[in-house]
Amino acid sequence: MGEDRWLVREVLEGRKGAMERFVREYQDVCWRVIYRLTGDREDTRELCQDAFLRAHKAMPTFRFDASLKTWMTRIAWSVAIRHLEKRRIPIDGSADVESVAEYADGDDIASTLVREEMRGKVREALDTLPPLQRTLLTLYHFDEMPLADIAKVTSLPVGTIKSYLFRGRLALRERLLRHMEPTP
Amino acid sequence: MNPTMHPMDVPPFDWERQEAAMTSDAAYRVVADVLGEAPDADLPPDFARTLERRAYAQRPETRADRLEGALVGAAVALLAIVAIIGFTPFHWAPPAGAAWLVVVVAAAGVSALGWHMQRRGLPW
Repeated sequence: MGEDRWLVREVLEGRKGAMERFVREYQDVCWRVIYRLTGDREDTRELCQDAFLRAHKAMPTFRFDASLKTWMTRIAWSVAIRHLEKRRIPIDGSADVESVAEYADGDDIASTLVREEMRGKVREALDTLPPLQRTLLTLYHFDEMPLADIAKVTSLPVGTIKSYLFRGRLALRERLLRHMEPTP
Repeated sequence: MNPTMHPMDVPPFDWERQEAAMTSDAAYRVVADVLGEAPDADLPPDFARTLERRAYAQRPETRADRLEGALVGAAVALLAIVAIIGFTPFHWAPPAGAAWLVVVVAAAGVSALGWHMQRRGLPW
C-alpha cells in the first residue's frame, strides 16, 4: 500500500515517468479484463487507453480503501461494461450447465498429447462462455484475486460470484467430458 | 452415494466441493490449467509513454499550475525583452556588466521553460 501511495503522489505531481510506470504496472490486468469482456482486440486497445485516462482523471479522489490494482481493475471493468451496454451486448448469457456428464476418470488422460488436445477444447469452450463468466474466471484463476476484491471490482455479491465461477467451471468440465466420450 | 453417480461428479452449487475438485479431479485439473493461462496484452510498445503524455496534457489546471504558467510566461517575456535590447544593433549596445545580465536572464528563461515542459510531460 505504501508503494501505491508513492506512485499516486508521483502521478498527481505530474512527475515524468510516473504515469508511464503506473500504466506498465497495470496494463496487463486491464487488458485481460477488457479483452475477456469484449473479446475484440481492437476494441480492447481503445478501451485500455480510455480506462487509463479515466484513472488519471479520477486519481485525486482515490482514497486507498482498496489496492491500486483493485481500483484500476474496477475502472477497466466499468469501461468495458459501459462499452458492451452501448452496443447492447449481453454480458450474462446463460450457459447450459444443468446436466453433468459422466466419464471415466482413467489414466489415459495423463497422456501429454491427449492432455494438450483437451486443453484446446477447454480454451475453445472458454471463448464461448458469456463475457461475465469468462472475466470472473480469469480474475479468480489467473490474477488470483480474492473473492472479496472481485466483489469490489464488479459490485457483485460474493455468493453471486461463486455461483458464476461454479457454473463456468462446470460448463468447461462438461464440454471437456463430452469431447472425451467415445463416439459410437 | 448414488451408485449411478461417479465419485468425482460435483452436485450443483457445492462451492467447497468444487474448489477441492479443482485439484483432485482430472478433468477439473485441465480446466484449472487452462484458466491459469491468459491472453497476452496486445498493446503497442510505446503505449505507456504515449498515455503519459496524453494524461498529463489533459490534466486539469490547478492553482499551482496557473502560478507556474505565470512565472514561466514572465521569465520568457523578460528573456525576449532582454534579447531585443541586448542584441538588436538598432538599439544601444549593452555595457560589459549588462552583457552578463543578458546571459543570466536568458539562462533563467530557458531553464524555467524547460522545467515547466518537463513537469507537464510535454515534448521538448
